[in-house]
Amino acid sequence: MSEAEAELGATIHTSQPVVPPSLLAPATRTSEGEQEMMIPGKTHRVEMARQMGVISSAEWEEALYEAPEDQTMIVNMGPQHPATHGVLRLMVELDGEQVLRVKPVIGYLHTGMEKTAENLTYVQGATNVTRMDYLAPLHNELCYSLAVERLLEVEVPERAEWIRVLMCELNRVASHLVWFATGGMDLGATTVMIHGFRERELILAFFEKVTGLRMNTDYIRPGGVAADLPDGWEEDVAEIVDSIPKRVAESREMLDDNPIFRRRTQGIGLLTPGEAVALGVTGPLLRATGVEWDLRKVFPYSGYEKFDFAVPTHSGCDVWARYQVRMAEIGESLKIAVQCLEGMPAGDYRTQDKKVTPPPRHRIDQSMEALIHHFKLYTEGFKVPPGETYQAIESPRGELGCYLVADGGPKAYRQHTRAPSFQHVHAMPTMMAGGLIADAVLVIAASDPIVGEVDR
Amino acid sequence: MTDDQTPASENIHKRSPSPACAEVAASAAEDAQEGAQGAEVETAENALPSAPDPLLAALVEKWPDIGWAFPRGERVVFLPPHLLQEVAEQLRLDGFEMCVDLAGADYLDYWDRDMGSWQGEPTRYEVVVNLVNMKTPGRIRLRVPIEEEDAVCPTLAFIWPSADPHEREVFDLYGIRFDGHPDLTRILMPDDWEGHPLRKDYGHGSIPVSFKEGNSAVGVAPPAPAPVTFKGLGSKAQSVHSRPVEPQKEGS
Repeated sequence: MSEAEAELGATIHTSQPVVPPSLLAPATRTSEGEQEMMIPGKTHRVEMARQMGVISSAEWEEALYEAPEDQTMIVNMGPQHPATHGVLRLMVELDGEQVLRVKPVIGYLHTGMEKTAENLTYVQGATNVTRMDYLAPLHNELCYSLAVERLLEVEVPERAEWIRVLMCELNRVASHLVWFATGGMDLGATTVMIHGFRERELILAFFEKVTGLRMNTDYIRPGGVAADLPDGWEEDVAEIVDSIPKRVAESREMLDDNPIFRRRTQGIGLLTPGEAVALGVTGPLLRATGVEWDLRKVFPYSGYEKFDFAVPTHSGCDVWARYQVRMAEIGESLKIAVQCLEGMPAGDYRTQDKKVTPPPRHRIDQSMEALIHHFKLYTEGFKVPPGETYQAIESPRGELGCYLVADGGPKAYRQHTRAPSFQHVHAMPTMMAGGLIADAVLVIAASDPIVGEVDR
Repeated sequence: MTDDQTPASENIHKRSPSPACAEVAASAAEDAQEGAQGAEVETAENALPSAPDPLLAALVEKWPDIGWAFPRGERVVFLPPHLLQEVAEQLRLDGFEMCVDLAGADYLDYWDRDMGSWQGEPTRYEVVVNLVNMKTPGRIRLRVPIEEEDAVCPTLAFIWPSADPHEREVFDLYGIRFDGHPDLTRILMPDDWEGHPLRKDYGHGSIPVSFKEGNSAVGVAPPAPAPVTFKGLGSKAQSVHSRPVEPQKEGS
């Protein structure tokens, strides 16, 4: 045993593959084999650890390796299981009620959005990316727009930046409220579900007023935002920042001191900071391991350095810590919204660069050039100088990245989205292993996966 | 590569389950610092324009084969596949602890792209790796040119486990094989899918989709997908499929 552990410890951080090919199960040697779990009794211990995503805990691997083969059972959770928040499928190997191994199988919502993006102009591109993470559409648009603007080297007016920050922070609150609602429902707390969706409705009504749509808004575009804030937006935002903290506090009363909720969440779904970093976990999940890492602070974008907010962390590493971090983030986001309300600068809401921004409607009737510009922008689109860039922002789920390659034409040559949920789904085996099947539902809920951005 | 440490990095190392790893990282960071100082001396005599960033300069000095670019202040490194694991390991020890993203790109229609100081020929494929340094916040992007004929790239899954699913995705969508990857299977497309859809010569829209047998656009239905099997099960094990919709939850 000590020899095996020594082998694990010595080899786990080297660059060479730690498993001799002869020890791998036959399916892994084929390149296009079927997605399946390997035979437990014939799998090398280190390979088993890797497959589970376990990096450090040697005890688990001992237990797994010696698990009696004839008592385990593989259960398919999903793709139509409601607790999987979409069409995520998990193959769960159980010994009684204990989860031994988990393999996420994704792709059920794959619609080739990265391929689609290569056939859309930069003007249309925001409409495409907004459908990836459908609970945080504005963050997707912001990430894409920032990448395009960096390649274009276009300056965005200050008011546009502030509007973007206001909308994104309200979107973060709405997303966390949905998480709160559905997470509560996964525990059987249906009142929490009703409350979460009720409070989110306030924000969605505001989105509809500003953008015309509740979801998939296509509001943030390269060069600025699609329209200025409507008259009376101050009252709406004031109502949101005033009422949501009270209502959230009301809902939290039902959970925070609830002994059932505490026992169901505390010590469940453990993920250490080292594992989180190694598995590429970001966002509230990483901050719930005590790591103070928020891209709004570390690599400020869109003027976030001007705002005063804290980065909530919690050292619990469990579902309870993720709940606490997200609830605290709602408060911090509303704090930013208040600052936007008080200090919203006047000025343009989009850049005045005529090659990027279409002319106002009334100019089309008066000016031939305006008409030509309008026609060219909406048929051919604007051209982006050759280059490639990677832009990352802090979405409600973590680091949302956009890798963009431009070849000088009006369409993106390559647009890749780095989706935080994609990593979180693949960190689930580490969080679930060793726990009970009933807690697996909570681990999924606490990771907040959006399958739309996992599969893209 | 400065000595100041953010609270975040302290947390990571304090709570890291493998303290030995942190020690290695700390000593390697010192080595890299010496390397960076050496590079400043060296680059004065170098004929090529020296990298504006100390980290890039240190990498170029250690591995003369690699190229660099610094567009808009983003660190970009071009390196041949055979150096990838070596450089990646060094970068991880230098503090690039998180591999946030790994993507592919097919440059079939765009050969004359800007490749910085890279001396080699442009290739059809590229593997792009985005790394984040959490100790002294910074990013670096590795671009690995991959030949069309033999599209193979060494795996990074054993350096950063987070690269594992991304490499499966690149294999699935571009057909680039990752040498040494423990489970290189399709991840987004069905297992029996033919072709790699994000390649530029993959005709999108030309694959007939038949929802019913014999109802295909060209009159020939594609073979029905084979059901995913559970070969990993022992002979005595049972397989239980949960019901598609669990009754106690919301319907979907």
